[in-house]
Amino acid sequence: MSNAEVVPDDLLDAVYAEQPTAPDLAIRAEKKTKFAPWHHPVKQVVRSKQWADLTHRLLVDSRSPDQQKTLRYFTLPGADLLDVRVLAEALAPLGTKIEYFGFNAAPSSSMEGGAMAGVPDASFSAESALRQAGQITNDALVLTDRLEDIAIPGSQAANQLSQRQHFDVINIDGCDHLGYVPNGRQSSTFAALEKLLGHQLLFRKPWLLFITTRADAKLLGPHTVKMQGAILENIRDHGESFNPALADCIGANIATLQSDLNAAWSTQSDTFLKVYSVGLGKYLLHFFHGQHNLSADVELASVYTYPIQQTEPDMLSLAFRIIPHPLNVQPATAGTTSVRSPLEPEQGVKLAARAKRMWNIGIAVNEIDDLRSSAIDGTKKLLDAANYDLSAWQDWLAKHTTRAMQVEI
Amino acid sequence: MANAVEQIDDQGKLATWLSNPANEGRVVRTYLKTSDRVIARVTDGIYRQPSSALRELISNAWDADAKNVTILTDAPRFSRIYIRDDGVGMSHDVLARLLHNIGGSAKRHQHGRELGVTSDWDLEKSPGGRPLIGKIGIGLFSVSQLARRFQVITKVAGSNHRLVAEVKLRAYSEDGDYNEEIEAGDDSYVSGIVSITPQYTDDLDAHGTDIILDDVKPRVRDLLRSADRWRDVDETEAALDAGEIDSGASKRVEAPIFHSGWIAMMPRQGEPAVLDRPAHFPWSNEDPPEARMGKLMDGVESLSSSKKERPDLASTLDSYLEMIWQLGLSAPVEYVDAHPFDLKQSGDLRLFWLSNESRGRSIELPFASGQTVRAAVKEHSPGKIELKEGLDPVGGFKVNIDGTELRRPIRFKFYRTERSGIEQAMLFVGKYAPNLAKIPAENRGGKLSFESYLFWTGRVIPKENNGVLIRIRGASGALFDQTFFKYQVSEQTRLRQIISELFIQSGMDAALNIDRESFNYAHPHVQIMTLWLHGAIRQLTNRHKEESAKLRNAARREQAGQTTSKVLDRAELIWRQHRTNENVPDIIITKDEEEAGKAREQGFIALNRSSIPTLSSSLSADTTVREAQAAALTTILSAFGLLEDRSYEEQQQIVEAILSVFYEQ
Ligand SMILES: Nc1ncnc2c1ncn2[C@@H]1O[C@H](COP(=O)(O)OP(=O)(O)O)[C@@H](O)[C@H]1O
Ligand SMILES: [Mg+2]
Repeated sequence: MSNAEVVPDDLLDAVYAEQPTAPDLAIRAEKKTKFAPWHHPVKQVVRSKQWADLTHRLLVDSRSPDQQKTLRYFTLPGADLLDVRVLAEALAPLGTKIEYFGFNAAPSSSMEGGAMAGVPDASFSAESALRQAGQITNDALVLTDRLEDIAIPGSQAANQLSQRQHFDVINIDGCDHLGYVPNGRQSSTFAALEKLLGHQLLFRKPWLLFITTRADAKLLGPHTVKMQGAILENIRDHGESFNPALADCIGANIATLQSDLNAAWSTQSDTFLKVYSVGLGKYLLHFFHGQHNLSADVELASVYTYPIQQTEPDMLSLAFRIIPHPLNVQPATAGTTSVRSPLEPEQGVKLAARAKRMWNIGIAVNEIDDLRSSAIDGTKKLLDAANYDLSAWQDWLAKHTTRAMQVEI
Repeated sequence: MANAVEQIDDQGKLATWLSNPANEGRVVRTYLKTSDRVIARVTDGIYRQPSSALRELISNAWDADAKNVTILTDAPRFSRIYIRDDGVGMSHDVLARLLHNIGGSAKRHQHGRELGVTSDWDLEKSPGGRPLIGKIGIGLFSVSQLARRFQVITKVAGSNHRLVAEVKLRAYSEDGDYNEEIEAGDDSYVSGIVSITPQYTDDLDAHGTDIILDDVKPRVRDLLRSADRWRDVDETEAALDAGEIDSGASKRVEAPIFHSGWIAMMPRQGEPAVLDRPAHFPWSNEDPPEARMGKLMDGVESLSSSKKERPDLASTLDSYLEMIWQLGLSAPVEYVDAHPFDLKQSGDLRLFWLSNESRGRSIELPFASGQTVRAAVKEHSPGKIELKEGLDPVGGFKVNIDGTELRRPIRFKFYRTERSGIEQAMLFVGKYAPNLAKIPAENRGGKLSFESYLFWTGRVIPKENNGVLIRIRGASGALFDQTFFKYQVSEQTRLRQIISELFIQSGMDAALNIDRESFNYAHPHVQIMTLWLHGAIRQLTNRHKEESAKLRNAARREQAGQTTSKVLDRAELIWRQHRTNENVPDIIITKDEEEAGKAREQGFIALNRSSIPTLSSSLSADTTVREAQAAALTTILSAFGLLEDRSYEEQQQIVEAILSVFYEQ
């Protein structure tokens, strides 16, 4: 063997190289003892009261029994598919199967907690369990790309997305803020959101957009300019109706609205969270208003907030309902100028009114017994199904630095 | 951190361990083994291409009475492959057995009955009544050709647990490098190691099997993504841009026309993957899964008026689409349009019943408008035969790959070859179940019976659909055999116009080699089948000759008064010397490509004048002469078969090259 030839590395790679692999089954089968913020019962309120309830309502209100058979769901589900499980259970009475498509990149170190590190494919058995039970469709698929990659022209993520139909629900459940740009990437979560809106444009049925995001007054990316701009444009064009609603929402005075608004954007507070919600809603309204023939209404269905990094609430869970208008056919006589309806003043007013009723679920889950116990039970059930060690979870919750909680198991 | 994992290598004990609820969440290890040294090598691979492994997995789902199989690949990256079915799943007994008996299938044995993998009333059938494809017990481990490691997650209905198994295979070696490792403590050979964990659930009804390849071998990924071909194309284009070669040379390496895209540099972990060439599928995103295979066929067929008389798959599709095509051919799924026995008479088909006598003659069956082949055969065939092929007892078997529903890509379309040739396609149908009772049982090779058709049309598109395909119990590993099992008579043109399938209902699978892709020619079933097939071809060609002779005489009478040029007469004479009873082709010279395309659809051989400078540049007085010469030349070239399977462009280049010798520009 001593005279064996030296083989170039790239040749060896082409034949033998393997991707970094998931840990052995023996390790994966053990009960999991590392927890992340989304294992806190407060997140269960979002999953069940916001995502599951609204989705159920969407199917009942605006889908025929035949269309209720499959829910086309865009998600960033994480390895345990917690959101999918909750939706599947809520939709079971309708006989709905979930056809999800989404991304779950191997987590980077910048991700909060890093609890999932090293377990990129724990979802295989979760996925099989749901599929074999008929709760998800056979073509439900999670890719290992990053969500942000869909904003890169020609990327595999964009390629795969473009081969998918429209989604009934898009759930961007971010750990970070919308302006976040992952390591080694150029595009932000917000850019990905814009791509998804484009993907949905030809869809003519109402659909839901869930956005969970860090909302930190100190971490505002360039996208906030778009949100702020959307508000300002409304103030300028429809101030008469919009300004009182906005002032009421953020507890400002009409006379000092402009400076109150500026102040709201700069300090972490409920006001900031509300103005952020209105800004994002207005941005969406503008986006859909701008699609002359494919316009849509945007309703803010609910706003939840809770603290995650600080004691002040800094997470927002927003649920938008997008209601496409009937196709707007332009008359031939329109010539080069198409007929465009005026900017959506009423919608803006409704947005502000809804944002005003923002619900702090961090507090609610402590104060409302029913809510707390259902959130705890729900989480427990989920974690148990996903093979977590419940007594370790109990300890983790009891010692939680910002949101400690005592639970029975 | 992990507790020491128990190793159990006794099949019975393993099954018991797996079924014990106390072992929830624990992991057991076992060797993947076989008592046969030859079979141990199977896990190293016996197949020619990656698609063979998928074919085996699809067959397994069929055998497990699945109604739906879904394969997901994330083409063109192929980082993972999932195979999911809704079949009966594997119990702990089945799993324990198969891991320790590679090469020893329980199917079609009494043992299979006890395990529930074989029907109670017919050993040859699945529990749901489908003819079983599996028999040898090596198909599942063909996955080893795609990945060294894979997971199986499976559950049977009524059970309170799901089994999650992770298989790690080792490359076979005869070096004796690691003899210790392969000691299994008994006389077995070890092919790998398997970890299994039971997961408990209260959902008793759930069932099905998931096979997950999360680490496809790099070389396999390269094969699937046509890497060698794309690299060639990239290099050629670069050289062309740099002026290092001229465009003539670049024709040798052509990019596939339809493909799933190309990522030249696979990104490292954590980097975004970007396509250097976006996918170009023959379907659009709005096309539903069941329409896509038809679109794929449309795409290939459409090239026959613009590119080549008989477009071929190899140059038209990338490996991925070719794989989809081949899986569609081999899987027990529906046809793109209709099963040949369910074709309806719509005026362009004649139906014949094949005789099983040696030197027999086919008889034409009345075939009423709107009637199906099946119905016509039942009403009019001697013996009022009821054809069975094409009916599934379980009620449908659908296989979906990345949003495309597999269908057999075979169409029964009529194409003209000659302007004044036969006006209808011809379908020959037969059934054969020879009584072998006279032969001693030990020589017989078992029972044999099959149904079959031979379809004649002017041209078979694509080229790869020409020949005979042997389908055993609905599945086929071999592709179309263009030699028709070495049919000897020189019927080159007619043979190229036949699509045939033999649907074997019993017998023949002992004659299949273990890769299921080739036959053992010495097996008596292969010999009987071959003789029958050759007899059927003879019946077809005889019938075809008679029909064309009638037409030829009629055409001659019609043309009697016409004067043609001398060169053309000469060319026809040469044609007849070489192609005794075939009609002289009709050659037409058109003014542009579009006209040429139309003429080709009507059965002309068309030359586009503007692509042949010697014709387009000549003075008007000369034109007629030169065009007659070009037509004569084309007739002669095709009499010798020299134009066959060349692109239209090339055919024109050849004509131009020869003419240019005589006419200086
Ligand atoms: N998809 C599946 N569903 C249920 N059982 C399966 C499946 N795939 C494989 N099996 C089981 O594994 C055994 C081995 O499969 P294989 O190696 O293909 O051999 P064979 O099909 O010839 O028996 C089968 O007999 C069957 O019991
Ligand atoms: Mg098999």
